[in-house]
Amino acid sequence: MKKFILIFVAIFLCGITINAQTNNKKSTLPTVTINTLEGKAIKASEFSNDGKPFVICFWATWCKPCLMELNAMAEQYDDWQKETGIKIYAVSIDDARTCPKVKPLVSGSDWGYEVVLDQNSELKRALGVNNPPHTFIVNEKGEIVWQHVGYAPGDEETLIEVYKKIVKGEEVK
Amino acid sequence: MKKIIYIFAIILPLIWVSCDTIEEEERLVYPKGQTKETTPITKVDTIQKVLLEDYTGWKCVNCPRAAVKATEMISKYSEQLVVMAVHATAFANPSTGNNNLDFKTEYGEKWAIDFGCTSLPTGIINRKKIGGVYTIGDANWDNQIQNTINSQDHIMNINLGAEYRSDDNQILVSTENIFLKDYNSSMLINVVVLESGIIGVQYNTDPNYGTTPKINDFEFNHVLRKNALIDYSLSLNGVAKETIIKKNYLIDVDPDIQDISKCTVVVFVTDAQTKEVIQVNEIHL
Amino acid sequence: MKKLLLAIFLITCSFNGFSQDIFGGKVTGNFQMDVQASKEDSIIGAEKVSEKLLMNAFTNILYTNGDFSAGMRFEAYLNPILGFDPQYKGAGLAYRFASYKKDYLEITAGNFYEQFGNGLIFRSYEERNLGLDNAMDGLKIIARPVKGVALKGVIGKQRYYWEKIWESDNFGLVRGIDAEVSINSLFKKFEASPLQIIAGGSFVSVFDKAEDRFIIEPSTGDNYKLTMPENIGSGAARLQMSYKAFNLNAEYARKGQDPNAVNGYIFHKGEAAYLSLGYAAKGLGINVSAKRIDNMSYKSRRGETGNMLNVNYLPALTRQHSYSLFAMYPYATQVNGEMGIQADIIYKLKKNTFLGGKYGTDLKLNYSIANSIDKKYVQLNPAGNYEGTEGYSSSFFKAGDEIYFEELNLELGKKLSSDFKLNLMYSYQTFNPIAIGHQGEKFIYANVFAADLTQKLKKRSSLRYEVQLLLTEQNYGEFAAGDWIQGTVEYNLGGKFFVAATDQWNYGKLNGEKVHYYNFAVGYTKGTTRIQLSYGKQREGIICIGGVCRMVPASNGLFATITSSF
Repeated sequence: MKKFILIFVAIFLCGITINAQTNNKKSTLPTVTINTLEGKAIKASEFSNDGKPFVICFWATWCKPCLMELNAMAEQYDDWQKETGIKIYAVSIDDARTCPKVKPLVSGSDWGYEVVLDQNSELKRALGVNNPPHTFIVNEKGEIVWQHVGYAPGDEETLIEVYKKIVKGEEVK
Repeated sequence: MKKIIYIFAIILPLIWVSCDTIEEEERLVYPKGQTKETTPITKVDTIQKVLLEDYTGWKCVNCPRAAVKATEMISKYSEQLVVMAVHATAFANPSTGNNNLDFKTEYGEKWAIDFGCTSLPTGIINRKKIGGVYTIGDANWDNQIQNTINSQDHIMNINLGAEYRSDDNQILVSTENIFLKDYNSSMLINVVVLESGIIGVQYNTDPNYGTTPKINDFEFNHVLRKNALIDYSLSLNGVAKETIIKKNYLIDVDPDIQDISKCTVVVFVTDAQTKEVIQVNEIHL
Repeated sequence: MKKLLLAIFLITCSFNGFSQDIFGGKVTGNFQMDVQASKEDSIIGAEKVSEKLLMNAFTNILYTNGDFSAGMRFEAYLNPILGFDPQYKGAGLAYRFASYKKDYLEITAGNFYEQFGNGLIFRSYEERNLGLDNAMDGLKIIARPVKGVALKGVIGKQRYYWEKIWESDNFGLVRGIDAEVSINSLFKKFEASPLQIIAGGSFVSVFDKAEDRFIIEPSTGDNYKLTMPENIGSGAARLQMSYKAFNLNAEYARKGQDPNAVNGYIFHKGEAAYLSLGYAAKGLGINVSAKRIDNMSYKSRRGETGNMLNVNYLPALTRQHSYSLFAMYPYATQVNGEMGIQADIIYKLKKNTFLGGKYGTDLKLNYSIANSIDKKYVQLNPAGNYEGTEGYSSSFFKAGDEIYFEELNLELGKKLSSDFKLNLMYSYQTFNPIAIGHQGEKFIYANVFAADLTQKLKKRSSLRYEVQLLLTEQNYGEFAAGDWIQGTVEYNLGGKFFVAATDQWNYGKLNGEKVHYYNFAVGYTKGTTRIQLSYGKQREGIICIGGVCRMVPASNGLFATITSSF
């Protein structure tokens, strides 16, 4: 009986994911309030890039793949910005334990991203993020049009390719 | 918008106030009833005794039958049996119908729930479970008292002394708990006052035991009274053979008690885990 | 079982309903399932799993429509995977809420998470990997009457596994209020000031019904009854300031009388202080934090000692390691008393310099120490212990004489060429096992090293090689004795597929030749769905995230994880 239910749950949930990916209705950013590095309140729904698409990366100071991803993108961030006008919001989900490390890491690493703090994982929950790294691209209408979990070297190339397509208004999967 | 600020302004002090502070002298309270005073021991116990708790109430129509049975048991087993009438449940609620005679107690009510005494009359013998339940119908009392006397392990004796102090309206009870065997778990001691010979109204359905539907001059005996000392610790981790634990208690006399000379003090020791009665003794005032 | 099927049915229906845009709302959510099959292995201490197959799963479904949102989480533990509390066994809706958000007002009914300041007196959160969830069930209101001001009010009870918390007096009621003001946002003329100030304050009170508790004098057997405070209050004030490259974050909290099972039923008031100072410039970041915790265990049930029902959050001020041998001796905050300091320096050697090389070099230095606080015990109770007394007095700035944990970490990250990236790390750790409850064990001193090389290959594939070495003369528990070495090789293909092999070898253990913890893993990622399968051995250990830790028993077998967001 238990095994049966197990299989049932698995099939059904896989069904959901497939279903959700083919769903045309696109989500927008929620009105969750988080903080800037200075501690000021900012709403996720107010994220913007002068009418251009932008990127949201969930990360944490203790997450190695996240740092690999952010470092890899930082190397080319200047070039990307000149070429496409991309903007990256790096949402730290560090809690009170590791939060003090965010600022020195950000300045020490000299990334150039917009870093915001989601200390109690409010935005993480609202966007259904399981584990960092988790990357979103939001189009000029504020709709989430692409997302990806995990990081492997080379993923940053995929990201910028997808971003360019979105800027051109092409459909992405 | 201002409303919200007002609401918060009200809640704020409320939460600030919700913080209890216990003064140093109030943190550890020496419970009422324990005393270092003593009174001479006059009742020496040498045999294993059994406690019969008769759960009853004046509105319970079959209870006179059980009361008669309890009296029979006392004459049969004499010194080996102590009977305690616990007036509990809705059957015992006082009203104008019984001239507001109140025999109910907080602990009697709790026991009735703990031991499952919901339909009366019923009894409990040494708080031992028989066939999974504590309750024993009055028809089986005789058998079970006999069984318990035969099977009970004689672990300890309780020697008693008691003295009524009219100045303070208090009863001073001295106990000597003498252990004949090792006992390895935590034990609790209970000191209660019972009153006999109270005349009052009792419902009745069986003409063999008196007038129906009620007996206007029913004699209530061994009635458990208020202000007892319940579940006081006797020993935390058990004791070795030949240990003697001496304890003294002061009980405020329940103001409802009609005649102090008709009262007895009953002391019984229970196992804190199993709740079973280990020993019981009774002394007249 | 019927309940489970019903819940699944409900979720299916609701999901299918929402996805067809009923009322024009949107549905998002995520899902995770872990399946474990472990067999007995006496060498590593893995015990027999009689169920053969263990599973944890959850799915969050969130419905949003304009200002309104509602969500729920279905959880199933059939039965809980190793290391999760068996009380989680079962399935059901563990979390559900409805929320309404306007610019100035936000109301949530049902379950919610929230945090006041740094969490010293209130934090409701979940840490799924630890099996920790202290979600509140009740009401939350957040008001932002003017720009720069936020007021929060919360009331409710906390989750306790699957217990019906509202049907029992055994679960305390938590009430709290918080206010935060950003001076620069509130007053226009300071808006552009380089000095940014944010101040806040909060109060929390727990109502926990008193229970009978006695202290017994051993000689006479006399009882003493403990008088319990039923309302346990706490307050905190905080300040966050930044001026140009400098920033400061400070919070001070006090807790009223709270005799509980964690502090041994003493009446000493609780206190917590936290201070963090930082300097951040381009290519250089410095942070120094200090904290003092004195009797700050704050739970909504005074008899509780585990990880559940925590009202506040007291994280350890130590580095959270991601290399596994570095995390061999995890430290958790000693809530009954601790003083600690942590310092971080992060420096980037510039590109095209002598030391920085062509691509620059990242240097990270981290030091942390946690020490006992000074405690002078005042008086004994009649039973010869401290229960029901003041307990102790403690002077604020004086440290105790016991070290709990000390650690120095050095990390160097360097891109060697366009294809090679190297990360080197060294750590010296001093660990007091008594602090974690391992009585009678010796202090552990360990030198730990790691080298991690990533190689980019063609077609967006990559290889990663990792070696870790732990050198110590001490033993930690039965199954971690002496030196360890670990090697990992990982191959990534196009960011979609990976395969990895790891061997952790406790070669320093007596007869350690056999103690290999090998592990093979494959994973596949597509969009937001990730499937990972691993087979091998997992050592017994403690996973700590934030301030809490979970024992993970050894296992030998298969582990599968599926995660997905939608």
